[in-house]
Amino acid sequence: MRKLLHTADWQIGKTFGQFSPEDAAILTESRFQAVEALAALAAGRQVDAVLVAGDVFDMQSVSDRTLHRLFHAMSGYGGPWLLLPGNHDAALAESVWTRIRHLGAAPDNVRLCLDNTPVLLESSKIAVLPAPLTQRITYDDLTQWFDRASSPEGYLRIGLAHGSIQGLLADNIDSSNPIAPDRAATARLDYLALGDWHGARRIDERTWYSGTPETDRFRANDSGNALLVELAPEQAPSVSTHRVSRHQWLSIRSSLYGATDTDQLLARLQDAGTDHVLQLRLEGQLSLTEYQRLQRALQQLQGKVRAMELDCESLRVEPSDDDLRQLHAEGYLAQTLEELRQLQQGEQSALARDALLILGGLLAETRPAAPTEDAGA
Amino acid sequence: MKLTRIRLEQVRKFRGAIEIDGLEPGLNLIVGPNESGKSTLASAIRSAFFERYRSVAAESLRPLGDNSAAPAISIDFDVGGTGYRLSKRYLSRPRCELAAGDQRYEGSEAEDRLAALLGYEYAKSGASQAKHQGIPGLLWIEQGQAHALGSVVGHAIEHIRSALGSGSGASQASEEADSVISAVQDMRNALLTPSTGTPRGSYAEALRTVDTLSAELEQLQAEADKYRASVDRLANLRLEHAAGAEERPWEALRRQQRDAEQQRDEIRKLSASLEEKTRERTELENRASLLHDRLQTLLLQERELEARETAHAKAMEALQSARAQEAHLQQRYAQAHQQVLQSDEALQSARRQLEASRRREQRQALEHRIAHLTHQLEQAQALQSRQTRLSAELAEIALPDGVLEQLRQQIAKRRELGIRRETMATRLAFRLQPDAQVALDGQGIRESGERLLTQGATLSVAGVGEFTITPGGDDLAALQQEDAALARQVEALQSAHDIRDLAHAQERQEKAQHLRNDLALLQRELLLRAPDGIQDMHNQLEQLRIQLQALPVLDEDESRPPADPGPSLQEAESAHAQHARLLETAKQQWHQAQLDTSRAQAHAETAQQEYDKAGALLRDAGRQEQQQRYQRQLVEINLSLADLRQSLQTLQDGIRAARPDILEQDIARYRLSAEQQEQAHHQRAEQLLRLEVELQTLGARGLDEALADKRQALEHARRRTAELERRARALDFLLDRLTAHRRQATQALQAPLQARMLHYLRLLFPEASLDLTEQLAPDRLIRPGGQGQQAELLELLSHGAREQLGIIGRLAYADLLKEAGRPTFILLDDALVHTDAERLDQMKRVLFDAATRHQILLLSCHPEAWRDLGVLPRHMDSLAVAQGSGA
Repeated sequence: MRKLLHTADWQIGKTFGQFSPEDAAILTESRFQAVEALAALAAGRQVDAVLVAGDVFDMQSVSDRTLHRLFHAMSGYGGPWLLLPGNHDAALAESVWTRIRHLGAAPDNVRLCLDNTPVLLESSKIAVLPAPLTQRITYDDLTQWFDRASSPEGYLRIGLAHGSIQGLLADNIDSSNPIAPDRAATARLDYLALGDWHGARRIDERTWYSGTPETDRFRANDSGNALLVELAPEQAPSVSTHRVSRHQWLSIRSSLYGATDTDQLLARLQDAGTDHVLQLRLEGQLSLTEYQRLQRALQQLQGKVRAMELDCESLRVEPSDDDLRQLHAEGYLAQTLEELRQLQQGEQSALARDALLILGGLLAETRPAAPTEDAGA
Repeated sequence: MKLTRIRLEQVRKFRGAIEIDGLEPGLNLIVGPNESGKSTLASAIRSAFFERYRSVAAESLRPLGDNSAAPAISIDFDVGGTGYRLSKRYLSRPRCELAAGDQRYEGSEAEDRLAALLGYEYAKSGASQAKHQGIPGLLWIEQGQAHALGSVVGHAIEHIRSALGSGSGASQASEEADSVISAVQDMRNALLTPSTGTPRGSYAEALRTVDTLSAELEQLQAEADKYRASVDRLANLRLEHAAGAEERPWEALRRQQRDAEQQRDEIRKLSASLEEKTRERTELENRASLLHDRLQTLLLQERELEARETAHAKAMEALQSARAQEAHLQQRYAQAHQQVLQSDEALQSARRQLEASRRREQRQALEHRIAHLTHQLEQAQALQSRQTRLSAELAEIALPDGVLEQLRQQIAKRRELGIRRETMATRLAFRLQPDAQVALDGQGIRESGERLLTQGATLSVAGVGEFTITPGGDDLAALQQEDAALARQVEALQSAHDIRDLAHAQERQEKAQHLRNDLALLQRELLLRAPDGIQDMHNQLEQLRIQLQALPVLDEDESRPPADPGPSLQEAESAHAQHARLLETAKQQWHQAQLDTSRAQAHAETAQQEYDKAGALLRDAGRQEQQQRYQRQLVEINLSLADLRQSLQTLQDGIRAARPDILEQDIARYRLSAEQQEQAHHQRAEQLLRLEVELQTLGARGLDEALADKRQALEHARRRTAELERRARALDFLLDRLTAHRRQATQALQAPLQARMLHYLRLLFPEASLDLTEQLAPDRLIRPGGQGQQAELLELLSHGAREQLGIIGRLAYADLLKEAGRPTFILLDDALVHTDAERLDQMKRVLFDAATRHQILLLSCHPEAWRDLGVLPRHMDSLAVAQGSGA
């Protein structure tokens, strides 16, 4: 029984421009933590090797500091790490990999699979056939050579590749970096460890995408795991997923048409904390008071979670009679409110709503009596 | 509000009391000159209401220099049907009392009630100021302040607003609304400039950040792109370098170069051989040429002999010919000489003949002259004798001069006398019977006829008798006598000269004349024949005969011309000259022929010698053999030359086909290419090294990571900018909408006031209208102008117009306030002084109309200006009341 930890798409150095710089920095940082978690997992499970199926780095040219940090994060596991270049960090003439070599940054137990040379792990009798990308994009199946590659007798044949399994993913039909779906069979592989797809995914019993260990987008595709692969000769591999990701990315779409809807949404978000990255898409129609309440709640939430993306473009504000009464809007203020309310349905809807919210906010500020009246009602 | 009575006591110039009573509910006019106290009255009314009774501001009411005075003002008025009396005393023992119907109020309470009733406030301390004076401040116009409306409206604005029907709450609401607007404005102006709406503050800052980050990102991106391109270049270079190291193309090129060089060397050998053979050919050709020349020389010698032979023959022939010619010419010369001799003979003969002829002619001429002269002499002698005969005849018949003329005159005179007699004669005409016998003077007359009777006649008729007829008159007789006398003279003359009658005389006269003419002719002829006289002629003749005898006697031959005269002397001379020339020519020709002959002789001799010499040369023994040897050698050489040329051609063809020039180029080309390839290979190696180092250096900078960071920062900045922009736009929009709505609201609010304004304004400017400010003050006057409606700011109008509009405005406010149940009373202190007569008329209509709703108190120093106001003026000096009288 031999054990491998299969992971991929670490995307070290990835940035998150959609969030505030502080939050984004933490998300970038968390990718190192994921590697630390992987090392711990590998050490704890005493795997024979860790296979990283491409896109270790999000980009080619990273700072030396980042390199050193990465290898430091990997130091928790002293066994062999096999790092494969992907499309983000292809083994170009000059690349992050040549840089690592130049710096001598990689410890001995880290093997860089930069060409089509089988890596033999003698102690565990594992032969790893790597298919590194040496260009950013290719339209050839780089794993083809696996079919003809020989491996020592008694060694497990493990494929390591980065790309798209052809014909499997509907939106990847003509995609670059193709991989034949039956490569494991044609190349007589015991296991084919794949990277590129950020969620964990089984292609066949011997072919798996591990997905990224730290979720990096709002897509419910089972990302944030590593695969523990247990291999026994003449048997199908036993593959188990292990949660690694610190952050959970949640995308919530909600229609709000009144206080109860708002309450429901807020209740759902009640437990959200610093390990959550949120995406809220709100639509519907709320009274001014209700909208203001929602805004206050969301502001609080923003302080609570790691990062939040808020889209209220489709959420209209409809000042209710209560609103108007509370705001004491009379004369031309009332007329303006009414006009803005109506304009929300026209071409200038966003503008009108923004104006309406500002006016509402100003009126609420100048009416300290309103809440007490509300409380009294 | 209607004032009914005003009383002042010890107020300024009124040390005593004045009282105005019985004020009308409408217009009241109080007139008086300057300094008569009108303004004192006006300010007393103001003080009574505006200044608290304890106020030190009442000092202004004190009469000059009267320290103990206690100015007192009492005003009775009526508001809403309730009668009021305000009594105030200032400075000394101040007091205030207000009676309102049955109620009485004292002191401050009275004052406060009054202020609330009329709509004004008191100053907290000191004198009341315009800002405290509210409605009365607006309606009570101080001297010269009618035009200043804008500021005083502000102090009454709340009252006017409330009168406009929006209640007290509305005012507060409007204030709050305005504070909202100003808050929006502040927020907007924090992001956008007020005038142009360009970003400012944090918005501008965010935009700048975006710009900065964009620029930085762009630069980083460019660097990253360059880095990427360099990486690709590196990969390519490596491939190329590896391929180069593998293939080593320069070596193949060098091999090609060597092949080409080998080829070139072979060609060079061929060329050397070609040169050698060419040299050989030239040598052979030279030899052949030499042989050829020699053979040619031999051939020439033979030809020479032939030529010499021919030349010799020709020379001999020429000699013969020359000799013949010489002989011929010698003969010609002899002949010519003979001819010359002959012609000389002829010439001598001609000369002799000529001499003889001359002498013969001389003798003949002399003889001829003698004959001629002799003839002439005979003629002359004949003429002389005839002359003598004629002269005698003339002497016989000639009449003396004048005889003929005298005779002719006498006869003519007689004829004239005859005519005169006939004229006077008696005319006798008759026609007789055929048988009648009638005679006149004895002569019978017959038949019919006529007779003139100059003297008595007798007519006798047979059977009848005679008739004597005597012509009448004495003259007839005289004439008869005269005639007779004349007849005698004629007779005498005729007989004297032996003349028969006149005709005879004439005949003789003519004949004499003829003779004279003949004599003259003879004389002339004689002169011609013998000009020097006959004797001279005789002498000449004698001399000539002597000359003739002196001439030599001619011999026989000479005496006659020869029968054959022969050639003339000229002909002989000419022939002689001709023959002499011919002789000369013949001589020259002969000499020339002699020379030619001798030359031909010499020539012939030379030709003979040369011919002999050439013959000797040709007859040499070795000559034949030599010629045959030469010919043999020449044939051999030509054969070798043909071979040589063939092989030369082959060589040349070979060399040409190999293109040695191109071959040289090939070698250079291969050499260059090899060098280039090798150099390129080395350069690639260097470049690789350089690029690797460069990329490592760049790689150490973590460009992509920096780029990602920058991108993240830019994204954030953009988001912030978008938020700010959105907020700015929303605020701008909100402000715009709020302002628009407020404007609408204000316009709605102002409508009644506007209507009142127009009511008065149209009396002054029929088609004008007024804009109001938000503070409800008139803002702009709009009236028809040159180009449609023209809006003029009030402040820019003339003082007079502003004054008029100031009053109109106040009347409009008063109308509005009255409608709202507020007390109105209008005080005009010397207003409209800047208004012209025409406008003043209109203003009177305005005031009269306003007075139907409000009480108006008008103070003026121009009573005449207000005469047509429909109200009797009160004079200031009529207002004083006796001390102690009144209240």
